[in-house]
Amino acid sequence: MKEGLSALMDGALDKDSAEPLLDRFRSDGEALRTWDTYHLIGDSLRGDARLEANLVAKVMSRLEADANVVIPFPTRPAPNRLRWALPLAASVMGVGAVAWVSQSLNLQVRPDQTVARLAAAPGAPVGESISSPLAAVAPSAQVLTPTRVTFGREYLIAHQAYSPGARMSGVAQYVRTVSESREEPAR
Amino acid sequence: MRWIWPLALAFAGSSPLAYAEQPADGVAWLNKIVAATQRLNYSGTFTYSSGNQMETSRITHVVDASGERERLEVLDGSPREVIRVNSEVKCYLPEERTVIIDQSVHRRTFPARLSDSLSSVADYYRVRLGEMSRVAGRDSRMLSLEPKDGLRYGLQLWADAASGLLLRTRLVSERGETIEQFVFTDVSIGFPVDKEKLKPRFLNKSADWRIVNARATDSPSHEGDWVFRAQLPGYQQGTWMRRKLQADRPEAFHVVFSDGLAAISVFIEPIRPNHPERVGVFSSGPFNVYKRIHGDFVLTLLGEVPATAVKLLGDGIEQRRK
Repeated sequence: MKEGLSALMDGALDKDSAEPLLDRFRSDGEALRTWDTYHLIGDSLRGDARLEANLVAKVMSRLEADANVVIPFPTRPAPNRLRWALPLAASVMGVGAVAWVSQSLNLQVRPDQTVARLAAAPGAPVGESISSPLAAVAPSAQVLTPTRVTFGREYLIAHQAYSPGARMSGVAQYVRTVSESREEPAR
Repeated sequence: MRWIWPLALAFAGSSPLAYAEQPADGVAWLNKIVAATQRLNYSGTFTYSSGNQMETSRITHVVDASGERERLEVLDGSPREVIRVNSEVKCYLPEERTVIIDQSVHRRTFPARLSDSLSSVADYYRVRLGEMSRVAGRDSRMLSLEPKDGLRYGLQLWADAASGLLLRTRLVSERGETIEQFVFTDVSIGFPVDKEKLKPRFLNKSADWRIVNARATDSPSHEGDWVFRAQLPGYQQGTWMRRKLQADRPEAFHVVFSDGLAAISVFIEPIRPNHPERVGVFSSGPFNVYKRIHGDFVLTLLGEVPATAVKLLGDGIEQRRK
């Protein structure tokens, strides 16, 4: 149907193919809304500002309606027109909600993970549902789960001076060493 | 109009969203961070969290003709204090009436050359420059270091965009969980810092406290006594040292392996009679620890690395037969 609408908009359909679509607009609210949205996109991409007030409300309501898919926003800014065409395009193609607001999400998503399906409940924070790519690095079978203990400070301080991290945060790293642990004592 | 649809489809469905990897830029930022930590005057408050603990500390760092001086004061719980004058570090622990003193001649030189160790970081981590964001009211650049194997943790760094000073760090486990975080809540950078802020609070009170001297001496002649059968990719071996971990204990050998960001310490100590050792893999704060007995020695491995790394390295250690 959507290919049909697109072709109709471009004037690429002959009369026989166009008529059923036009009929459908009378009965199918969904098709009509899609048609409207396509026009809004076209108008906005051409820089036609007259429709803007209505556009935002419409798009937002659509985004809220089916929020189960996330598309991370590009880290590198796209040219302005395309930048906000993206969420629009996503919504009219039935892709659903777009997480363009989640700046902090960007680096936690693999570059190739353009579209991530989430089973998150509506209203759940979208960003937190995407697992960090770091999680996928280690073979999970090899991950050891050590017992937590309080370990001798003498080892920690000896180690701390040579930890390369100390070069980046100086004495701040020593907080680890002097930290008052409340966990089970080892010895 | 016809051009719009393919374009919109391409944009929504494929990879123009991906950002380029820029290891060179990332490594340049790492160098900038290291330089800023050493060369800038700064003073501020930061929170440190690890596991379910969180503590707030105040830090002051001053560089002048006499070198670097730094003071850290923990603001929560007992008022622990760390004072650094160039390479000498003193930790004052009032509750235990103890001063731990460490002096390291290697602090600036391990691994061999800073630039070397940082440029090889890109071989073992995917280095990416992230977005600008705000930390402690300042514009900061985010840098992500994602490990390429399971032998090191991920690291996210936020550096002050203007000066390069590190404003926030986040260590990320193989499961994507935050292991520890440092976050400045407020900081002033580059201003003349009030020297009063550097004054040790416990200098006079600590006269009768127990002093633990953790100073190490080089001991390259012992290097040949031990063999490391398991070489962890990217981890380079540092100098062998000898140090007393406690006054009443025999000297231990200490050697550090590092990939430029993560480090594993190996301690080799003679078994102490009537002193049972807890062996196995365990964790303490952000550190994983592996202890095992080998002949007459206790081997202790410790690092802010996945448990797999300390276990692998530790199991490969053998005493050379003479």
